[in-house]
Amino acid sequence: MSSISSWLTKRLPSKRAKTIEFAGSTTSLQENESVLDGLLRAGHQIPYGCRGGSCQSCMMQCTQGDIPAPAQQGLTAAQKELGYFLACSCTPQSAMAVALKPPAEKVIAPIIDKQQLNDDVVQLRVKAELAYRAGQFVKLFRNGVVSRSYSLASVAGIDDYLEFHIKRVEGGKFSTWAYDELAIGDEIALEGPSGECFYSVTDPQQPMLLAGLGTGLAPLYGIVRDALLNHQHQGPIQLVIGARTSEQLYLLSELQALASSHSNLTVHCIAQHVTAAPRPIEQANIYEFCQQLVPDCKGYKVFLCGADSFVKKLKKQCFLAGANMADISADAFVANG
Amino acid sequence: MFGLFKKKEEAAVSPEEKAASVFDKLGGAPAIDAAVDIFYRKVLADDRISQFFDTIDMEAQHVKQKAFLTMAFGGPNNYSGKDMRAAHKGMNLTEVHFNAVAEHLVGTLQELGVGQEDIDSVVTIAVSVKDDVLNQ
Repeated sequence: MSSISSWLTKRLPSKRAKTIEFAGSTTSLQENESVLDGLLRAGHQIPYGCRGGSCQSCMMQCTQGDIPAPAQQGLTAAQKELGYFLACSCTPQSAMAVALKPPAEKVIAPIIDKQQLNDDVVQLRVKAELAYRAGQFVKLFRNGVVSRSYSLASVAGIDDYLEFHIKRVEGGKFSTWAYDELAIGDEIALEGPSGECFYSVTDPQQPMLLAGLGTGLAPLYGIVRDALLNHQHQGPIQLVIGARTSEQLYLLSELQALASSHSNLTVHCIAQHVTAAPRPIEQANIYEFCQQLVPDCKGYKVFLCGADSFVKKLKKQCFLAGANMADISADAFVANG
Repeated sequence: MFGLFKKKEEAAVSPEEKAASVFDKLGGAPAIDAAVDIFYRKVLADDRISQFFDTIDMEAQHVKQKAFLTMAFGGPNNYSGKDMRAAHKGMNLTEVHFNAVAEHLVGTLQELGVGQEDIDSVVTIAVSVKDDVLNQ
C-alpha cells in the first residue's frame, strides 16, 4: 500500500493542475468539468446515472488528493472515511488519483489459534498484516477456490491478529472444512477488507445501539471495542446480542468485563429459549427488546449485524423509530456456509 | 397596461423555476438528506403503500427517494420519465397510492416549515410525473 501511494505522489503533477489519475492514465480536467465528465471524455468506462449527485451510481474512491465537500454530499460517515465520492459532483481544485473500486489485497497467513466458542462456532485467529477497520469483512479461501466472506472480530491497533467467528453450516463447503479440518499452523488465503459497517468518529457523545444475532456478534465485538478503546467513545452504548438458545451465546465473560471497565457500555444478552440457568440472559424477542430498550432512536448511531432477514427487519424498525438512514450501519450475512 | 404586463411576466415563471427556489430555500443538497428521512419514514409507516416497500433494499430505495425529492424540489437532476415508468411497471398502482405519496410529500414540506406557495409549486412538479408512475 505504501509503495503505491509513494509511487502516486511521485507521479502526481503539481497541486494546481487539475489532473485525474485513473487506471494508469492521466486526464486533465477542463474548467468546471467534473471528474465523471473528464473521465468519460477521455474514453474511460465509468458507471453513472443521474449526474446530479442523487443516484450514487458514479461512486468512486479517492486514493490521493483532496475531495471537495459537495462530492461527498449524502454519503455515510463510513463512506467518507473510505475516501468515496460521487464523480459527477466532483470538480476538484487540485490533482486527484481515483479508482473505481478499492484495490483488494490478497495475503496468505498462518492460523495461530482455534477455539470452540459454542457447539457450532469456532474462533479462528490468523497472523496477517492487513489494514482494516473493525467491523469490515474479509474473504477467506479454501484451497484458493472456494471463498466465503467473514466479518472481523478483531480490532486494528489492539489485537495483533485477525479474528473470525465461523459457524459450521451442515453441507457448507467452507465452514465444514474450517470447523472440522483447518488446524493451528495451517495457512489460509485472505482477500480484503471490504464493507462500510464500522465506527466513524462523528460525535463521541452520540448514543449508540448495536444489535446482533448469532455470529453477528463478531463485527459488533470489533466495533464496540474500536469505539471504546481506540476512539474513547463517551456516549451511552447499548449492545444487544441475541441467539435462538442461551447456549449459543458466547464471549459473555469478555463482554461483561468490557462493560465493567466502561460505565457507558451496557450489554444485554437475550435468547428465545433460555435453558442455562445462572447466566445474565433474558428470554425475549430481539425486535421487541430493542424497541423497549430504545423506543426513540432519534440521534442514535445504529449497528446491525446478522442474518439478512434480521438486519432488514430491525433496520426498518430503527428507521421508523427515528434513526437517520445515514446513521444506520448494517452487515447482513448470507447463509451459504 | 402595466398591471397586465406584470401579471403576464409572473405567469411566465415555470413550476421548475419556482421549485428551484424551494431547493435553495431549504438549503440545497444537505437539506434534501434530512427531507428524505422524513418523507421515507412517512411512506413506510403508511398502510396504504407500505407493502410495496416490504421486500425492497432500504438504502437503494433511500437513494431513489432522494433523486425524486431533488427533482420535485427543483434541484439539479436528470429526471427521466422512462425510469419512473419502468420502476413502477406491473405494480398495479392506482390514484390512491399516488395520492398517499403526494400527501407525505406535502407533510414533509410542512414539517420543514415550507410556505404554502412553495409547497404548491413542488406538488405541481410531483403531479407531472403521475402518468409515468401509474403507467398511463
